[in-house]
Amino acid sequence: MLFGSEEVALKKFTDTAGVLRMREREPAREVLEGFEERFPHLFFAVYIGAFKELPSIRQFGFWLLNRGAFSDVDLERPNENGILLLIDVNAKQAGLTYGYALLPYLSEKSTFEVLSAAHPYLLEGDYLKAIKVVAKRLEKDLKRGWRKVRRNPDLILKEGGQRPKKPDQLLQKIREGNQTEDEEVDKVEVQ
Amino acid sequence: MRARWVPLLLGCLVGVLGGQEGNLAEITLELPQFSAEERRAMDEGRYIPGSSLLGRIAMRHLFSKEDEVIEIDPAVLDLPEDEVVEESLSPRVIPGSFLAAYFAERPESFLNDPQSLLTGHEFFDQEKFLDFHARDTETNFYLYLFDEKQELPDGEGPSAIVNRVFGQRESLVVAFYYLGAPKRAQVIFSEAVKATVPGEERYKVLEMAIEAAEEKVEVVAQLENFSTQLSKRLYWMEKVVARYAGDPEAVFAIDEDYRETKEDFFVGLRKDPLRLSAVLGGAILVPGFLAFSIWRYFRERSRAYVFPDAEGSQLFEAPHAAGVGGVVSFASVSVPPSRQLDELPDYLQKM
Repeated sequence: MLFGSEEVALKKFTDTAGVLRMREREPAREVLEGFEERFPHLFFAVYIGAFKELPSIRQFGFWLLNRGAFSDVDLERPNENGILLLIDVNAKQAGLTYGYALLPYLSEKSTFEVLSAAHPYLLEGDYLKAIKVVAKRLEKDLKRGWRKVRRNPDLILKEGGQRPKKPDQLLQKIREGNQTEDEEVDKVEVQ
Repeated sequence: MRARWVPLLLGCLVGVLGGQEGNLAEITLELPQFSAEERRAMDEGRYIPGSSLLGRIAMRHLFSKEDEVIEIDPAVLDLPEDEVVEESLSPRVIPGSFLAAYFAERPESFLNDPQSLLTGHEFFDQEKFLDFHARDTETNFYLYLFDEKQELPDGEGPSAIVNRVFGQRESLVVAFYYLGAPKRAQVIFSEAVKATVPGEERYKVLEMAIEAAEEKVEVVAQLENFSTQLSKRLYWMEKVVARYAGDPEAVFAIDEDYRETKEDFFVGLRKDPLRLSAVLGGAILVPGFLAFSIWRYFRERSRAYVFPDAEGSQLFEAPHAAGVGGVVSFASVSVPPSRQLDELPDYLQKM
């Protein structure tokens, strides 16, 4: 692995580059909290770094979302349901990476458009505003996806390479077993 | 004092001319000092410091007890004395030479500005506007211009002036306007106008014209606003007077005109059920739509979006995420996102 195979502990808002002022960090966290309130199974993380030599921001984002252990994200929101905004202030690049669960609703094109909306603020170095814009545009896209999947879940999930999750097989067996016993008891009573 | 500097200057001169050796240090500079005899003579007034520099004639004149006789050239004596300017320079008084043009005779144009307070161009524009007003209405509008602080001569009231200059029969309005002080403006209505327009309405006309003038800061713009507003109000006043001319008992009021229009609207509604239903429908639908929009907005804000649980096969052996999204570079203003759209993603490029 280019970046390592160990898990990386981090928080959903990480500014290792230190580009956000103290008074800007709390509003940035509030943006992420607000996102989680509207999407109870998803989370939105931001990583701002100043990398000396980053071969590919896409690869790093891909690796970080797969290896990242977000300590302040509850267990109901696995990394499959996460979206990571990565900003490299040295290379002046920003990228978005998202988990498997969001494949039906987001795409490279739509996330590029989301980042494009924040481009003016990134140019000005107004990273807080850029985060706000990205969150807002992502919410818009996700709400649209939510409406579509509500109408036709199978089709939309299939288009994103997903399928509706079946109940846990072990749990299913236990429940089925219980049901069988109950039925037999009922039969006995009838006899 | 001059004597005190002479050795110093001489010393400097010697220093400069004495070459590069820097002999200035060797020159001893001494300040001039009074001798005891000189000091005593100075205290008694017999000695003037620096008098050694004066010539003998000057010294003789200085110590002579006789005043010098000054002889004035006869040619200068014969010069005529300056004429005394009679007109007062007080800003409150209208110069006497203009009184006749203001108060003795009827002005030649609707704009009376004998003091030339307006420039030629401004005068032309204003006069043109008043001519235009006169063409459109029966009530002529005369505008007298005064300077900001000027006052009418003692014993001259604006009404008396208008009655004397224009007579009482003619339907006209004369405005006395003080450039830069719109609040001081006075509007005199001729008896013919007063007979048809109540005092309250006449006062309202003036009040609105002053308000319009005060919206501007520049004095000529104030005048333009004043005259434009006054002209408009006079025009509508005339229309209303014409309407009520056939009904001597009608109560004149400009606002009555608008009230009547409103009443007509409601009477018309009662008579036309289709119109009534349209108005009622609108009255219900519009607030209803607004309320619905507000409710929907707050509902959307507080809504939680839960996606269905899904599963799929792993890509690139990634346990959690394979959604490689867009990347935007913000290194240069000259490369907007639209130019980055067709760039091949780096993970598809050869390393």
